[in-house]
Amino acid sequence: MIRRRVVGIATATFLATSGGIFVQLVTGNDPALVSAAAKSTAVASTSSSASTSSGASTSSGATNSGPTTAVTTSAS
Amino acid sequence: MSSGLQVRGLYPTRTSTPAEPHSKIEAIERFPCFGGSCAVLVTGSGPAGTAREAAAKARQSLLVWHGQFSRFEHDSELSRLNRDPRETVAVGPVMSRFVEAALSAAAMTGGLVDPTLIGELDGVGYGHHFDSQPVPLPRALALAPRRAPGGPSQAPRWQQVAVDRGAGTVTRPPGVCLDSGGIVKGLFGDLLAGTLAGHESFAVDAAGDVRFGGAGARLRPIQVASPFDETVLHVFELVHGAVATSGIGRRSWLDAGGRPAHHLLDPATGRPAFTGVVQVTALADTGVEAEALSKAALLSGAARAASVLTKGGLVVYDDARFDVIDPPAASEWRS
Repeated sequence: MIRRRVVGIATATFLATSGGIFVQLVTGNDPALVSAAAKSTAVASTSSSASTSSGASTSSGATNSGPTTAVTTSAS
Repeated sequence: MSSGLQVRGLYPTRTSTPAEPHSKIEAIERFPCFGGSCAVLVTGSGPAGTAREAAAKARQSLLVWHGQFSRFEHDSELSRLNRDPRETVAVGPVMSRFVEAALSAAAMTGGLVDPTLIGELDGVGYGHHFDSQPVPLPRALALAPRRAPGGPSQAPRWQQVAVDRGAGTVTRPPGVCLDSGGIVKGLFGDLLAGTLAGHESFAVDAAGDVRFGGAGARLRPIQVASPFDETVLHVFELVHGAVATSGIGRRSWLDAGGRPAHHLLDPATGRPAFTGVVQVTALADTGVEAEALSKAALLSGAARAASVLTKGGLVVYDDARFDVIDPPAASEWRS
């Protein structure tokens, strides 16, 4: 009886945790991706117009509906 | 044509889940071309097939065009045109587009971006593939002459060149030769954009000249690398358009007289330009325009470079300082 109860509680806990993670991923709220997006936004706030700079910064032209891979431009 | 290692692959831009649509997967082709590293990135199916098919087709087009337009390949269409003794020569449709673009860039920049300086390039030691160890930029700058803005040639040969796209001919005095330079890289991005714009998103990186956009209007991060140590100086995030970078950091050498040389010539003197600017990144609507603006800004010198970049960009000076010129308001950059 006790063994059945322990198995039941363990199974319920597992399903609840997995379900929560699944729902979070399906709704696009992957914690890792949220961290990356927030980081990008924070960097964007340091951008300045026509100014002399010494560190990396970000310029934004508009909003998007999903991530794309960064491309690097340099003189060839 | 470059024939080294060619890396191909399909990489997800984020973890794929059962609920995630296939259009979020970005197909990426990376390969050596144009004396540097190139890449094609496509998301979503469209006029060129699946993302993977579209990226592979674009890669193949770039490799074919490189062979067609290299002045270092004896049998390329450009080399055949340059040594043809006739005044009027029949050319292919892409060649006529290139000549038109090169003449347009020269006119737009008042002759600063001159496509007819092949003799001068040969004279400073750039008559073959650059495959030697470059002189470090700080050393080249230390040995360079006094800084001065560039100017147009007093006897501009490009004004003697004409193209008839309808007839498919180029007319010029025999002996006037054309250099495909960076203009052709910008043009190739523009040509590929005509098809790839129907996909969710795309980016074509032709060794520093980047054309990007797509029907999904997604932001594309464009990182600008420093000519001194290749660290990222700035990141532009844009929906569509073109970015080109011109500079003297990667290919500097010492000429026969021990003077520092590179491939960006001042048309007024026929000598490598040392203007106080070592690299310019230009934003524009098209690749050809971006390429013309970046070269014109570098040749204009430190005092005027930023003012040339009317659609935004980044200027790096001799002392490694840099100015960021932000692009116009977001609404002007939307499709």
